[in-house]
Amino acid sequence: MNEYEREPVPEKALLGFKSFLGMYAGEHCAGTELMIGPLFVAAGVSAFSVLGGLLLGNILAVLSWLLLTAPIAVKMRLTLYYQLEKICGRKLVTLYNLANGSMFCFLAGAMVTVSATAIGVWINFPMPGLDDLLPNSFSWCLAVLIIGGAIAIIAAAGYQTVARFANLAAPWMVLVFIIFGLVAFHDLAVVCNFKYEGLDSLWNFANTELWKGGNPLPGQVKFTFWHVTFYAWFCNIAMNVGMADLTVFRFAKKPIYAVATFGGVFLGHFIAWLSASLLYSYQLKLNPADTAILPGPLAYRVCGVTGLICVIVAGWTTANPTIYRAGLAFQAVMPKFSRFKVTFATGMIAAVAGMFPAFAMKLLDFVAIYGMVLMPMGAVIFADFYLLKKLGLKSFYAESAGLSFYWAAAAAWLLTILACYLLVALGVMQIFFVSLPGWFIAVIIYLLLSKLMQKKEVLS
Amino acid sequence: MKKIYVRYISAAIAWISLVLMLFFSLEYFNSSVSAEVLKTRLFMSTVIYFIAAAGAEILKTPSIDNK
Repeated sequence: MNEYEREPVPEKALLGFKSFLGMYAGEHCAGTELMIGPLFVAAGVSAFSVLGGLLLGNILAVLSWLLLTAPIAVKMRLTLYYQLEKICGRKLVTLYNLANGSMFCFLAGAMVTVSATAIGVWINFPMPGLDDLLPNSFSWCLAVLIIGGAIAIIAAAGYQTVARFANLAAPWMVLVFIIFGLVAFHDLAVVCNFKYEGLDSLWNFANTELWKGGNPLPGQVKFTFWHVTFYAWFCNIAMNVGMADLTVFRFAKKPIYAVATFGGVFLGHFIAWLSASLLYSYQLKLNPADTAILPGPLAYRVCGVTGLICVIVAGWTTANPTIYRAGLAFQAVMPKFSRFKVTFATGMIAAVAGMFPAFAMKLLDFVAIYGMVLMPMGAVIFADFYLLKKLGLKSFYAESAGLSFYWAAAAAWLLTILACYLLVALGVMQIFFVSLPGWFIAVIIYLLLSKLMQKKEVLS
Repeated sequence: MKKIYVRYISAAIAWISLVLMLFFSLEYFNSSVSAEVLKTRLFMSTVIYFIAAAGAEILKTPSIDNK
C-alpha cells in the first residue's frame, strides 16, 4: 500500500468522514483510560470539576484539531515527518523521532502495566499500590515481562493482524467501558441506599459519593475544574497542537472532517474516564483504605471475566500500535536494523518500563510531560505555515537552504522545553498548564531566530 | 449458502450480541437480576461476539475469497 510518505496525498487517495470517525472512536478507548478516571478521583475532583472540565477540555481538544491541525494537513497533505524535514532538516527530525519514540515507549509501558494488573486477579501476587514508583515484587516483574514480551513479539511479527483484531474489538470495548460505568453506578447506588428523586438528588449523590471533591489522596495533586479542563485538552496535545495528526488528516477531503475527533474524545476521554472513575469510587466506598488503582481488579469486581478480558484487550490493542510507532521512530534513527528487531527491542523496553508502576500511577504527570516535550514542534509548524511569509521570511527553510539541521527550529524546541521546565521547577505553574504558555514561547523563539538566521541569498 | 450471506449473518450476530450486552446491563441497572447472572451473561455475549465478529472478518479477507 502506498502511504505517500514523501509526496502529497493525491486526490484519489482521500478518505471520507466515516474513516476518521471510526479511527478516532477506536483509538481513544485505550487501556490507560482505566487509569486516568481513577486518578481523577484520587486527585479529589468534585462532580462539577470533572463533568464541566471534561466537557470544556474535550471541546477545546476538538477545536485544536479542527483549527490548527486539519487546515495545515489538508493544504499541504504531507506527513508530520516530511513536513518537519522540510522545515528543520533531516538530522533535527531524527532527534525529534528519538524523543517521540522514547515517549511512545514509556506510554506503551503504562499500557503493559494495565494489562498485567488483570493477570494479578487470576494469579495472586503482590501488585503495586498508588504510591509505588518502583517494582514491589519479583512476581509482578515476571508477569509484566511475560505480558510485555508477548506484546513485543506480536507487535514485531504481526502488527497488521493485531490491528485488525483491534478494529474488531473496538465496538465491544467501547460498550464494555459504558457497562463499567452503568454497573459501578448501580452498585454504588445500592451500597449508598441512593433513591432517585429528581435531578437534585442525583447531583447530590454525585457530589457526596461519586466525585466527592475535597482533599486528594496522599501523594496526589489536587485537581480543580481547570486541571481537568487542561488535562482533557492537553492529553492529546502531541496529536493536535503538536501536529502529529498531520499524518492522519492529510487524507481528509476537507478540514471540517476533524470534527470526527469529537467521537473519539467523547467516547474515550469523557465516557470511559467517567466510567473508570466510578469503578474507583465504588472500590473506595467498599474499602476506603484500598487506594490502589489496579484496572484488573477494578473491572473484575463489576463485570467479572468480561471486565478482565476488556482490560487485557484494551491494554494490548493500544500498546501494539504504540510500540509499532515507537519502533518506526527508532528505525528512522537506526535504518540498518530490521523493523522486526527494532520493534521487538522497543517492545521489550516498554515491558521493562511497565515493571515500574511510576509510569501508570503517575500517568497524569507523564502524559502532561509527553505533551510538553512534543508540542513545540507543532508551534514551529504553525509559525512556519502561517506567520513566516507575512514577516517576509521563508517557509520550509531547511529544504530551500539545503540544511540538515536548522538551528532556529531546534532552539525553539529545546529552549521551550527548558522554559517550561523552569516555569514548573520555580513553582510558577503546574505541569498540567505549562504547555499553553509554552506554545507561545516556541512560536516567538522560532520567529525571532528565523529572522536572525535566514540568509538573504536564500530568501531571494 | 453463499459465503457473503454467512458473512452478513455473522456480522448481524455480532451486533445482536452487543445489543444484548447493553440490554443485560440495563436490566441489572433496574435491579432485576443478580450480579452473578449479569457477569455470566456478559461473558457468554462476549464469546459469541468475538466468534461471530471474527467469522465475519475472516470471510471478508480477499485471500479467502480467492480460494
